[in-house]
Amino acid sequence: MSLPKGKVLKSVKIIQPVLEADCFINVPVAKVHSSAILTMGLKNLMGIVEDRDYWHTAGLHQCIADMITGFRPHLTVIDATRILLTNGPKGPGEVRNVGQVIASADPLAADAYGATLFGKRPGEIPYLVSARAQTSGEIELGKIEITKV
Amino acid sequence: MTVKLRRLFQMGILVLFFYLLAVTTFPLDYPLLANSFLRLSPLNFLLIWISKGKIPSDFLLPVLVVVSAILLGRFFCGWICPMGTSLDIGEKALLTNRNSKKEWNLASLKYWILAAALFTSLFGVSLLYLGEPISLIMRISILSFFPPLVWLWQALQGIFPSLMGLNLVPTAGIHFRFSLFFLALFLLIVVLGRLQSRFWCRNLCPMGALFAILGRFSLNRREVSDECGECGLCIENCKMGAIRDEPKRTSFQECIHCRRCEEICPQGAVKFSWRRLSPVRDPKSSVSFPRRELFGALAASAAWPLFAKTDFNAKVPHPKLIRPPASLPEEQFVSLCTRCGECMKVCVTNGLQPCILEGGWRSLWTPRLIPALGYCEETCNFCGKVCPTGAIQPFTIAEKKKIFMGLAVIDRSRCIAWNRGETCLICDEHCSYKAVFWKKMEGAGKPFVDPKKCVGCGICETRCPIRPGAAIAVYSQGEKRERRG
Repeated sequence: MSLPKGKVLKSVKIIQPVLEADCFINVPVAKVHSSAILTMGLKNLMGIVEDRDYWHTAGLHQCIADMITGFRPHLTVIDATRILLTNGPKGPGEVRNVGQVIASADPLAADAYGATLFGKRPGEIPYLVSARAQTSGEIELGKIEITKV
Repeated sequence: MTVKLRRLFQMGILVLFFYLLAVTTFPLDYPLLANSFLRLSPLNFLLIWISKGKIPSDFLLPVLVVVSAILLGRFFCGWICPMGTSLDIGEKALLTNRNSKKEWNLASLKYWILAAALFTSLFGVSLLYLGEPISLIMRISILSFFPPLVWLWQALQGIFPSLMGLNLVPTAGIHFRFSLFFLALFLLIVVLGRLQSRFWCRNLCPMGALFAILGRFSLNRREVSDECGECGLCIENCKMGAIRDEPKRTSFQECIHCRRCEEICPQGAVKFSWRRLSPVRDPKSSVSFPRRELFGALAASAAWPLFAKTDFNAKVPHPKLIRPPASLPEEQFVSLCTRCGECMKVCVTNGLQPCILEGGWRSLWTPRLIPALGYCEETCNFCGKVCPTGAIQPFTIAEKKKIFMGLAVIDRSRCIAWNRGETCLICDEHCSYKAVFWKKMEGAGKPFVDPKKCVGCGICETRCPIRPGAAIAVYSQGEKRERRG
């Protein structure tokens, strides 16, 4: 599929079942990542693309942001029951039991809240900042309506 | 009748051979492995015995085979050997004109080859692999027949998704070096059948030679009664050329008990019967015993290790020659390895490939890890499990982080984190042993390798996005090899 709003990633090959699906729900496990800082909803979309190497060579954060400009999951559910704090993404590393599951129709908002579980502000994650500038979605915590159940 | 039975038996054994080969793959939970066939070879048994200096513990199968040769001569060649059966089928399929009466007597060549195989093993740089027939057909099957079959199977699975559960082959496509070479070699061996059918078995096979020596004294042999009309049909139809000049004269060291002569004899004069144990030898049945060949082969074999050891690559091996985990020290390794290809078949990442000359002539076709194709998987110890001779020693998964195959080295001038400041660190992401770590320098993280932790599995090289020619690559410099246990 083509990504007209993408800056570096202009088109991307995605696995067939995802393209054929009526509804796409993205369920990442929250963890730290050596190069992307954190893996949550946006980063997890690398799991459905063919050429991941290009993302790394062309600029990882920018490509993650470009992807969300053209491909938005209908729902993002971040599994933060246990989060990996060190030596991510592969582990093994320090694990904290958080016991939360984050769900949002806005993938940026889900990631923005998720970042706080790691003690980070959303503004510290370059791909979130770029994504906010390029497409709709909210990363400012004050503007996100958070409901705990 | 007996011929039909024999064909059925041969096909059964061949199907078993290929079935065991097919299941020599992840998850490897079958009680019988394809290496059972390799382990029943008395030659491989002798190789292990000679190389390790002690009798291998699983001697039951090879001893049974030897007993079969004492009782029945080259019965193994005619009824069991998957190489022989493959040749029977290949000749039938490809050749219209078999058994042309070329009167070359090359049959004594195989004794040279047997003697050379054993002597070179004794001198520590075995050449047994060149002739051992089970390893040969195994290597041909694995390197040449399997890759296209896997692709076809996957195509079939694409058309019929219900076949998805049936994974008798690896789930990923496989690639092998030398695949066309061994296909050509197989075809050549088949086509040689135009000169003499089963050319390989008659003239070249060292295992055939071993059985031939034992077969001279076999207790069950071909006998021709006086009803013989001397029509010569048996001479014409013997695929081993074991009936010489006159129908009554059998060369027992060549007869593979295929029983064809018995079936076609118009007089019913041919019988295979048990010999009375009498000291009287039939003078007509004996052919000169291969003593001269023994000495010739001894001299030639003594020269081979000299050439092998003074070879350029034996002194300067290829820096990326990475051996499978727990491989024996190089000299023992290349001598014990029968080049059967089992480790390459079972390798879950397809990273094990046959060498060309990276370690010199003596390393030809031995396994080598090529991380550009596949790395050594952290949770796998299959190659050590399937190796029939222990050239790759058995090891546990827990031991793997202490088995050093090599060391990853970063080429900073090619690494995009180092030379362009990109955010990459895929090598760090994938490293299973925490051997790649990173430091934040000039804005971005730069990877480093800890030589104490890096075992040289090569996953970093496989995954590095710089292609072709990864910016992090494994070299043999950190390798530690030892005989275990």
